[in-house]
Amino acid sequence: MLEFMVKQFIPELIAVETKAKHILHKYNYLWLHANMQQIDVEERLWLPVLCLASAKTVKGINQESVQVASHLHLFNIATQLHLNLPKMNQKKLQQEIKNPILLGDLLYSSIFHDISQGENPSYLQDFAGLLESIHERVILRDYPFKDDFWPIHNDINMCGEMSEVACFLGARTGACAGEMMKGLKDLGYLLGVLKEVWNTNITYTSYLNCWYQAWNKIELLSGEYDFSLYENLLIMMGKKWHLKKPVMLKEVRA
Amino acid sequence: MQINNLVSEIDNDIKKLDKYLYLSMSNNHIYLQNSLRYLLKAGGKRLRPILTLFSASYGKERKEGIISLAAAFELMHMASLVHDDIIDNSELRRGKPTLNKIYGSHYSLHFGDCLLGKALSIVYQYDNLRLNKLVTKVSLEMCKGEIEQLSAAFDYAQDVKKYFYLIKRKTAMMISLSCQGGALAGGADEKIVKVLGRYGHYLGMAFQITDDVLDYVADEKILGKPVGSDLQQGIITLPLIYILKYNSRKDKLQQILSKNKLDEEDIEQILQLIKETAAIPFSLNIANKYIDKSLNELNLLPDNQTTQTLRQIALFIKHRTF
Repeated sequence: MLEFMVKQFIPELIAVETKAKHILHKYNYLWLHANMQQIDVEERLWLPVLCLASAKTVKGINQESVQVASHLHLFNIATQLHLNLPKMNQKKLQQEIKNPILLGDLLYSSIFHDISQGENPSYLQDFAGLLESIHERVILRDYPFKDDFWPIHNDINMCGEMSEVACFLGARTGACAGEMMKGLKDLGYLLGVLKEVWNTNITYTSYLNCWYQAWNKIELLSGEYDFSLYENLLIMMGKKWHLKKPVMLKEVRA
Repeated sequence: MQINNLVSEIDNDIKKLDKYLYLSMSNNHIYLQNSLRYLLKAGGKRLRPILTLFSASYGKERKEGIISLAAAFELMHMASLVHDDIIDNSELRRGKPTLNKIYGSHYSLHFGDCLLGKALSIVYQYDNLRLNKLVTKVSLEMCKGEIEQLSAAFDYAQDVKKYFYLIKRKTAMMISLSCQGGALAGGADEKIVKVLGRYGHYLGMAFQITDDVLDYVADEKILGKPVGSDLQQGIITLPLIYILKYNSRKDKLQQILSKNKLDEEDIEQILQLIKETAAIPFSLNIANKYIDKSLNELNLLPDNQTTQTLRQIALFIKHRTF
């Protein structure tokens, strides 16, 4: 699904991976990189790509966008390490769970440390908030109420929140503010929800409104900005669900 | 003696701190609020936030403004304990079942992550670049220390230098941060910030060495966990290093340790060996030297009631039995 977007950002994504590698190298934990490669490419690149796409849409990608994208990249990997812990809790599995816990912790701490050393420590707040809310979602997913809908709902929301932050931060690196920034943040959330629905093969109809809301956002925000990347992403998702791109007002006028 | 007896002058602040801690997750789901309450009720000395509050009083800020920072340090400390309990598969802490024991590894892991996120969010609100750098550096070094400790488990060749490297990251850096962070946020002079940082470091080193000694000699009921639990996990601490490096009975110890798995009888033999040799006095002597160093640092601070209390806290660490 992400292939065509990745193609748009190949040089930037190489820079993102290199920066992530540098962060690990700085702390002498390059061996972690091998573990990272085991995580599915699409899963690994989703947040950096969203961040870069968001920055590109509002102003253009700069050094800060690449920096934030590489932090998101590492954040995503740390989260995956903690999420994919072996389910069982027996003693024989203790060794298996030690490494991902420690690696995840190390990655999170490396990200926070790197942000605090950088020129814009305000990102610390965003990443700390994301860390708290994502893991709260996981707890609510794994320890649901009686309502069966909760676990899936929390998984989907989790992806929504991470994508929301990726788009928001990408827009911020492009010195974007106000309605546009809020709009991109909302769009990020919707794309995250749709991506999770797309990945998990659950019935999309409950989330159909998200697909249409995303198009509405694009229509509202586009104007002078080029949203073709997001449009193509939505079209690609829609194909799986046999949904056609809704008619946009500007197209009717044209 | 309890540490609370020493710090009665900040009773009100400690009450406010506890209230802040209890409410710090009030916006989160009830599951998380209950888990935090459980951890807070399990006790703990609140040594780190207490040091933060005292350190802040060397500055111009009122202590009230520092309460959230003190709470953030306690949350950060709790996050590290929660994750440590999963990694060590500990069933008891402070005499009560660990979160890991009650809810399992998954829950505890994610709860620990939530605590760290909450703590960092609070720290960021102080809008202090140096504080941010300091906190994130300590968090990173603590993780490095934990990884190093795991890779050094059951490595009976490790020396005192390696042990000091590990306990610095395990305990001393966080205690030093609590002191420095309080002074920084309180607006204290640079010289005082540095002195308090060193005081915290020496205190932390002594604290951990004493902790490691207590793991061998304390009353299990008072300790709140099984005696010799470090040994069972392969964590090599100072009393053991002493025998392996400097004592004539090292052959006997090496013979026991050469087994693939230590049973209860082996542990009992090692505990006996530690009691019979000078391992404990040797370790406590080093802890006392660190306490002396921390007391020397205090001589560089203004001679007031706060400095006097910090002195008593150092002496409390020296004589603590749990």
